[in-house]
Amino acid sequence: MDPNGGSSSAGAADGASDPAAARRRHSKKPKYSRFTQQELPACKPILTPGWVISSFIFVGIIFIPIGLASLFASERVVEIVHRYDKDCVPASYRNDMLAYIQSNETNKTCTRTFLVPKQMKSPVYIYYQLDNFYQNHRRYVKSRSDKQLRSRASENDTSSCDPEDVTANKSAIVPCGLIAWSLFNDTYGFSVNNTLLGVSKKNIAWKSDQQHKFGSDVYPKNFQSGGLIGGAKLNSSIPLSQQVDLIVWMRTAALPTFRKLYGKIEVDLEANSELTVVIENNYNTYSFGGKKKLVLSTTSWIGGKNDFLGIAYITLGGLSLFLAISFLLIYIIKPRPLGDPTFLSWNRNPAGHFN
Amino acid sequence: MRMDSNNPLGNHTNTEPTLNSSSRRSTSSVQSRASRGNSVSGKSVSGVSFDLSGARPVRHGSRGAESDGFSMSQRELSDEDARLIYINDPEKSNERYEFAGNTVRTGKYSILTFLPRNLFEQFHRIAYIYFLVIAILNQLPQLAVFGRTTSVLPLAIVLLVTAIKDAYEDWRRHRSDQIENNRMARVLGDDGFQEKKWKNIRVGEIIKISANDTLPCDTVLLSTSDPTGVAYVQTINLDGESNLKTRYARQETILRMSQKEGMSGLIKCEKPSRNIYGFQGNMEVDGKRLSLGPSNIVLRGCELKNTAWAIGVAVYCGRETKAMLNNSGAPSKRSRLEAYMNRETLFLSLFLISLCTIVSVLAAVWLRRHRDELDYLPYYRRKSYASGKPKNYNYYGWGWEIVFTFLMSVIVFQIMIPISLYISMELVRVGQAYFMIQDNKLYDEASNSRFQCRALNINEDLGQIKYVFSDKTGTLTENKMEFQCASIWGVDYRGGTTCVQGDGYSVQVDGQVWRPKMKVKADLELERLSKSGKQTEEGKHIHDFFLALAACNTIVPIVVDTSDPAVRLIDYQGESPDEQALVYAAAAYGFMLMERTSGHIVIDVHGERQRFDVLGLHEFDSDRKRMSVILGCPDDTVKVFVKGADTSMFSVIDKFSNMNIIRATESHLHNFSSVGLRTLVVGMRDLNGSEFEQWKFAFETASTALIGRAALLRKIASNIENNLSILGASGIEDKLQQGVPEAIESLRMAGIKVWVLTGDKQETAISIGYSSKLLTSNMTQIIINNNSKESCKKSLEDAIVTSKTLMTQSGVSQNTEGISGTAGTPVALIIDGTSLVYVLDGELEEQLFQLASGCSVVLCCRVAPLQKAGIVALIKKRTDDMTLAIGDGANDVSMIQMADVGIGISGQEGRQAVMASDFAMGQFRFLVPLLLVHGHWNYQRMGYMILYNFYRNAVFVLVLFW
Repeated sequence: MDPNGGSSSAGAADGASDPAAARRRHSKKPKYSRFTQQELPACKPILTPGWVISSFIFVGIIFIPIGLASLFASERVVEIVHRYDKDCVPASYRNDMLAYIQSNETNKTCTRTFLVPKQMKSPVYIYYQLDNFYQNHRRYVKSRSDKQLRSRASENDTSSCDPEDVTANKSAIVPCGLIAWSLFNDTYGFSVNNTLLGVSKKNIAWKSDQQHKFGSDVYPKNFQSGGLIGGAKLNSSIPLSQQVDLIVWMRTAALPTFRKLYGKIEVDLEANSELTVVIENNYNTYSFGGKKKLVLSTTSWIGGKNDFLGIAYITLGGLSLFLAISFLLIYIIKPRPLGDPTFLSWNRNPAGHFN
Repeated sequence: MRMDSNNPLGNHTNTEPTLNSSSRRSTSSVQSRASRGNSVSGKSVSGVSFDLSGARPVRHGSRGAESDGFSMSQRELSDEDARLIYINDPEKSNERYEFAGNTVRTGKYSILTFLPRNLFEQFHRIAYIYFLVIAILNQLPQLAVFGRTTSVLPLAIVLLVTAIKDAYEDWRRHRSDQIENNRMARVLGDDGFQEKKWKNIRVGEIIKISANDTLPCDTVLLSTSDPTGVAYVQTINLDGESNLKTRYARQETILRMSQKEGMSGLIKCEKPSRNIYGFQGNMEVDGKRLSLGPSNIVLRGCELKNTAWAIGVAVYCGRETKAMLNNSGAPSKRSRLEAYMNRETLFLSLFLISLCTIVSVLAAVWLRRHRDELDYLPYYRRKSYASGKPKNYNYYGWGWEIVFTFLMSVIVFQIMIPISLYISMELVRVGQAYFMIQDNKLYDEASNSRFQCRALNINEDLGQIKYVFSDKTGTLTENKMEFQCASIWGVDYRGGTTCVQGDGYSVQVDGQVWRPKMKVKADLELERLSKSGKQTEEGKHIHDFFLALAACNTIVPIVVDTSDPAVRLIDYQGESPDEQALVYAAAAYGFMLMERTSGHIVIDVHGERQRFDVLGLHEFDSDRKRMSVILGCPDDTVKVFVKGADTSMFSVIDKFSNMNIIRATESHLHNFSSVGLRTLVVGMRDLNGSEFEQWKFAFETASTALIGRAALLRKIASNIENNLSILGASGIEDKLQQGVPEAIESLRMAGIKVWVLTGDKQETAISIGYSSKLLTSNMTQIIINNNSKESCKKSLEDAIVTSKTLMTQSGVSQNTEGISGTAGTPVALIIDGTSLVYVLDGELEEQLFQLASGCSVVLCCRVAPLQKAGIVALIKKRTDDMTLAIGDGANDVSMIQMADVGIGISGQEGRQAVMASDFAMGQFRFLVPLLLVHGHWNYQRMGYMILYNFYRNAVFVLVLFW
């Protein structure tokens, strides 16, 4: 039997105080704390009809105005999108656009005119938009050398730049890699009602890119000197930190259809004024069926023209309101008591289970 | 049902002694831990036919282990199987075979083997292999999706941390080994006993151990400070039982050792085995062959107590000791949720493969379609013109590109397979275990024990339990036995005048008062009669009855000092609580057991010290279900006292002489058991000279026999336990544990079926069932109690029909009422072990299952340990429901291991159940917070976490895929 003496033992009274004290001292009783006993306050909302309905109404009331506001803001943005890749090819070359774009003799200049539908307040942003250009392709994305771009010291760090790493005589290409190699090289000149408009390239690249990722002592070298020209050439006397077009281009896009900032027009464009664009159509998207578009756009507080956000907000808010109302109707027309156990699965099926 | 007749394995050489022996055992302390190894290695125990002998009704098999060991000696120790040990001659002992030295190494690694072995063990986990494969794929330049180092780093860190943890643990193990190995022991050398480090002890050397010392290796006792060769050992390190166990040195070796001329001889014993409770061998000293059993060996790790010194010869050393062979971890079970998750993971891998296939097919289509443009495509540029001549850049042809695309998408989509989830689950489980251990509601004040989580990976299964299989004794009841009443010579002494008097009975010895440690309620009438002495017929029977109670046991009285120098307490130590209760009862009525050696006992009979010679003792075994002792009384008569379970006793009682008394006793027994008392019947017989001589001769031959010793002893026992005159019967109360009825009620409310599997008698079981609210008066009881397969089948079929009709009634009432839960007539099934033998044979299992699954309560009585496992297996096989087994004794081990979740009660009956269990706690009632609170939370939280992980990963992957 219990060698420590049961409570009923005759002799326990003699030494009762000692073992009891000892037991208290050696007690393994867990220390009480609300954490260990899992008694910390917790909130687990029960989804009562009132709760559900009011939260749906709340969501609806909050979301619909937000949606409307952003839709209006987006509506106010004036955007001109103009596709020019096909139209800028002369009719004689329409059947062999590749030959046109690859040839050195053909005249690549192309003039397009269109009306400004509404007044565009400055700054008017100029974008070029490429379609079907997979800047996110893994072979493409990896083909660059950030170290080389950052400092002159690692100029020869071109191991990741295959296949545009070194020239035939093994001297490093700066900037190396497929991305730089395929730099976009169409140019645009604008004039309104025959007066030339200046295109500002100020602040079109990220400040952090200019300051930290592209070195001010790194100058282009051996660029586009190989057998295959991919795109624009760079002025080798300007450091990379000042080559804003390159910097913009080097931020690769996540989707095959993307816009990149080309520049800004710092004056307002009046409604119905005639905008003339002189395009140097150099960039070869014809080989892979890509499209080129010129985009002029103003901005508002939600950014550029973007109806999606507003529509999404409105849809969600509307849905919430609809659900709230239908729940409310159900609750009014056919209420049932909360926590009715007969609806539990094992109670609904009488043959199934009884203890 | 006899094992020998049923079990074809019984008599011939068995190749798996441990398994066989474990199946034979049904006595409390006996289910060895060693057998666990077996039952773990295949849960195949269920496959063993459950043909072992019936259950034990009472736990008074104190040293049943011995008979068990003998039963193993049914095979001859052939020279190949044996190890030969020359006593005090280690050179010769180790000459032929190099036995292991006494150095122990529990450390897993050495400095050289650490790295490869540790890595090997760590990579046993599928998650790590998966990570490794992904990382290796990532190293290929064509495939490098993520940076090379970043893919290796997490894996490396995890491996490193685990390795450091393992190394630290191993270092600690090495250090404790070193301390252990450098402990000192006294070993017989050329000139007496000399100090020697443990690690230098060799097989065959003679070792002297003093009181409170720990044994350095397994030794066969040669001699002890006690002239009769008794040594008391505490095996708490080995099996956790804190009571003292007696071990004996053989008389012949005691003589030799006392002659001071050194010892020589040859011990022949079995090869090292894991069975702690089995040992067999023999010893040749002076040309005489002595048999050795488990009572002659003291194992490493035991402590010598109450014995000034003991001398023994080392037989197993170091890693061959039984303690070391038993050094293995807990069995591992898999949680249901995890199994389910594995299946889901398989689906996910298929999904992943299909995703990757789609990706690579699409890539192939794209490559095909653009094959002419690839050379110049600005974002693809197949050709490199750098070195003048155009060549392919990073392009290996169409086929290879597809393969690479496939592999790359595997890397990109790798999180689809939530390998990290396995690690998170492990962390969550550690947290849950922490919460369960820390819960105050699971802390047992009485035994000062917290909840223990021994298996970490089945926490959430606790929330899915549908069936609870519970042992009765020690689990539902406290297993604190209390003598309640007696029926002596056909008279029921159960008057209402029971009370506890002052200090109870006490004895004056050398001016000191000796008093039993436990007070027992005494019946005044009976006490008066017992004091009146042997004059009256009634008094004589009462005298014999209490003498039987005091003598017919294996209890060791230990005298304990108290704070009062004039008072000393006698603490009765023994392995069976029933025996303790009986001896305390006898002491309360003036028959106080004062002293026990292997040769005699001293009993104080109403102030008069009497010495009885113990001429022979037939241990309790589960076949006979009784034990007997042959006493040489002071008046030179020889008597045999027998006590045992009623069924087995009535068959050996002389029916012709005292029919009336038998009848009366039977009715009393029925009364006793109907109020939930455990009953024992006591009988005795005078032996005349020739009978005694005959028995003595047979006993001596049998106990030195090498082949079939157990069977022989059993036969001799049955010969002498015959034609007994009945003395009476005792009723012992087995108290219900605190909160059991409420706990059972709550479990029932929660829709959990509680089955009670007990070794007790049907009546006892039913009465406990009532008192624990398991059975209620509105239940219809179906009792199945059969002796043959045919009748069993028939009654099962009848029962199914009855229960079906009851069921449909209840179903109808349910429909009309429209409320469930309160089914009309709940059915309780009560089935006994004998019927279960036929049922579990095979064909009837299905019917039993049908019947049982319809019943709200199932009570199985008289079931043997393996039958318990069989019943659990029956449910496990046929349903998807989770089973939980809870028990405290060695007889529950098989059931605990069989069930999906095994819970051990750390209570009275040793720690084997706890050792085998997945969780251990102090009280049955803790099941309610454990299952309904922790189990529920564990399951719910784990489920949420897994789902969250799956969906999160799916979102990640599908976004990438898009």
